[in-house]
Amino acid sequence: MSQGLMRARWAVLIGFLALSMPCALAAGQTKFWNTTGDKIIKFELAPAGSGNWGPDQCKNDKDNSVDDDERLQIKDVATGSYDARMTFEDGRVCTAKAIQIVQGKIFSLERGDLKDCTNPH
Amino acid sequence: MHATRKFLSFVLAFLCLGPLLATASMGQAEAAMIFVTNEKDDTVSVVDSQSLKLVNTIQVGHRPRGIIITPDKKDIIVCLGDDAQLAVIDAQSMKVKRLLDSGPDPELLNISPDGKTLYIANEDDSLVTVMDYKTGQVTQEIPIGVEPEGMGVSPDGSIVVATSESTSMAHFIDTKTYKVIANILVDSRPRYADFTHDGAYVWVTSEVGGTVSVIDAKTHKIVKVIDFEIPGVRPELIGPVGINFTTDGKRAFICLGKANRLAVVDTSTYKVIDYVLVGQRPWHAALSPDGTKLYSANGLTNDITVVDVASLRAEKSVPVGRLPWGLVVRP
Repeated sequence: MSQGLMRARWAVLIGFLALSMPCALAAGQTKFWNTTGDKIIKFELAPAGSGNWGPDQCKNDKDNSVDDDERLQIKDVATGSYDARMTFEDGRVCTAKAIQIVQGKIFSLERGDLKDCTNPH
Repeated sequence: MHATRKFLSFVLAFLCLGPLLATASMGQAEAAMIFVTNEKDDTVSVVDSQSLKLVNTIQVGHRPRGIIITPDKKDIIVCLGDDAQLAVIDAQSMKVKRLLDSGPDPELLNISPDGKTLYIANEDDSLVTVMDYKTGQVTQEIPIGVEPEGMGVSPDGSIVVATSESTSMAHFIDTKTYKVIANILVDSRPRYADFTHDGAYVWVTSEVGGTVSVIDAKTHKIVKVIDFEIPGVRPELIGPVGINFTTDGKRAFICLGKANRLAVVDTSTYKVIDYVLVGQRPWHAALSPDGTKLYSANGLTNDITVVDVASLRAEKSVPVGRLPWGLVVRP
């Protein structure tokens, strides 16, 4: 391989890394900020109105739950409108409709956002 | 004649205005300002302690939580969790005048009695960051347990006690060597540590455990575990967080979180004297400069409650921003 070709390849590689690194750095984790006032032990998301509930996102946390005022990492969810279904420590199950999630950003839910809650144990 | 009239007018005006000016200046001297961090609004609310009116809302960075006032009462320092910074607010002009890089996710901080050194709990990376306040330079990073939060400084500044929520420990740090000299296991999720005024004991609240551990500051032994029972309130809702000792040191107010109450504890017998109903989920409180009032920040009702320290009565609630977290009072 000629020296010129090697140099060109290195230049392309360095250019690619230089362009891609800021994007990687800019893309933060998507997180749910629990401001409902209560501990959540199961948190699922579905595209708004679909009822296709995804995996329990609480599994992403080291203690499989998200406490009041804590953050939960949300995995494999693209930017869009979602319904959320959550189970609280006292057994209540509530939903929140059509919440907007932006990949790499933090979203939160308050008590006022919760609908159709079942009774606690 | 004209000159005499002018002189008499001047004297009369002085006599009439004098008491008014004196009253006004006395009023100013007595009016303290309450600074409240609003975690969800990215602001600090300022409430006049006399009128109990909101007088200012200061935009700070993202997720303001821990807040302190410097010993000279000139600066107010706020942890900005999502910015990895501290905002320094001029206590008089109420403007942000400095931003300091604190390390990731600062949650709570404290300052040495001489006002020279900051101790910052970095929740996400299990560190206590030590910072020279004048230069803003980080001088030490001390590894402790997981999820640091509480940060008590002894009255003589020689010891810092940091708590780690997930490790459930109180870590005693020597401020000369910056070595951890003792790790004390306490009940689950310790969130706050404070020394008694005489420096003899450290009180540590455990939010999930629902207790306060009283630790001998010299021997590092737990001498008492205080627990709480409130008729009609489920035990799991009793989550002690903030501690405020009264000016005379005879009582301690403990913020009980989702029990929506402050416990009042006799510091000599460790008995609970009373529970004061305030707004929802108080995590931190602050005393007025004269020690007669206590103000609690109520996270779920977006207000502060004014409590009369002598009568133990909640007197008034004042709306502030969303998710009020901590507060300090500027004399």
